[in-house]
Amino acid sequence: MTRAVSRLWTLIPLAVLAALVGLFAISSLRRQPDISPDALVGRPLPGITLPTLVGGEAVPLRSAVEGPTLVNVFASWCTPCEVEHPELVKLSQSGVRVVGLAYKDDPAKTTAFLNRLSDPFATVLVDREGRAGIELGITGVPETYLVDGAGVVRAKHAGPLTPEHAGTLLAQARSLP
Amino acid sequence: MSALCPVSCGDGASAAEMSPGFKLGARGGRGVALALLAAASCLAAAPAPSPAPTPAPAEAPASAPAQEARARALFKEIRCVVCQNESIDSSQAEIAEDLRRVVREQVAAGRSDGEVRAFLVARYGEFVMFRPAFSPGNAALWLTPFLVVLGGLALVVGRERGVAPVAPLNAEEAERLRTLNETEPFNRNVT
Repeated sequence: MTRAVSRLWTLIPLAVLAALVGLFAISSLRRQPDISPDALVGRPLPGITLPTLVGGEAVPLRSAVEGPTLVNVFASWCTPCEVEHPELVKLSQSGVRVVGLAYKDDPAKTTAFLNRLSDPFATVLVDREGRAGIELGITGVPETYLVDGAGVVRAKHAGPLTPEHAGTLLAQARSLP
Repeated sequence: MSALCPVSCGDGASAAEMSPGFKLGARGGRGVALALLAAASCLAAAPAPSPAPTPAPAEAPASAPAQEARARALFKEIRCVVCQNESIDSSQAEIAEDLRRVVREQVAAGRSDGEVRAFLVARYGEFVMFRPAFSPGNAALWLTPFLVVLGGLALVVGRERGVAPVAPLNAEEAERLRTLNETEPFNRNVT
């Protein structure tokens, strides 16, 4: 009897080990090893000044924020940006302020891109050299930042917005003051 | 990460690997389609890697050799945020080029290595450094396993010491053992 019980005890570490192996196997097979840096979340937007696409006057990025605002980094040469474009249109139609940041793009091409697809942006700022991109910590385009009325970044999405992502961002934006 | 246009990771094959795939794929057919489309489009976009209108005089090294050497040493420590297993020293990605330029500028402006690192960590998080800082959180992460092992050893040693020594047999018990051995000698375990 006692011998049976103690044998059971010796099996417990093995069982735990097997469970861990299973867990790690499952989780690491599903995990995307790439890291999407989001160091800016929880911190204020960088204090950078950029020219607007229309007019060209220099404007602080922070002043483009009015209430909960989505800042979308895009470029005309980036096809995933075209893929996510309908979601941005829907977001702006549902009343969220969406600001565009044209990353390393020729303003003439940006304008043509927006004329062809429609322009969901309240305003578009031009980051020709990609410095604002580095200030924001982007790894590519498109990326979308949710900024609250006080200018603090609340969420970030890297890659094209799917309807699910857009819905999440919309819900988050509505929950902000 | 997901279906970003990775601003090209050297060659087309690695750009395809970088892009979308598994995470989106797990969400069903639509995600897969979107991911594939994005991957294909990134490849399509790749041949035009230089959207910048006036390509800056490409990669001018810092004028002072000492500054260039410091900048190069920093490049080796900094992860390319697109090709995440490469340093910006070896990466061909455009964003790595941008980061090299920023590092060179800051070095030329007289910032210390620590300040340059802090600048990048503030924007990209600690993962941008190949060598993590010895912060309290990291110390806890790396040292806790050793503490657990030490704690276990202490527990084992403590137990060994805590076991009371076996009392010697008293006269009556000794006598009983002796008679048992004499009367039933073959019951002993002889292996």
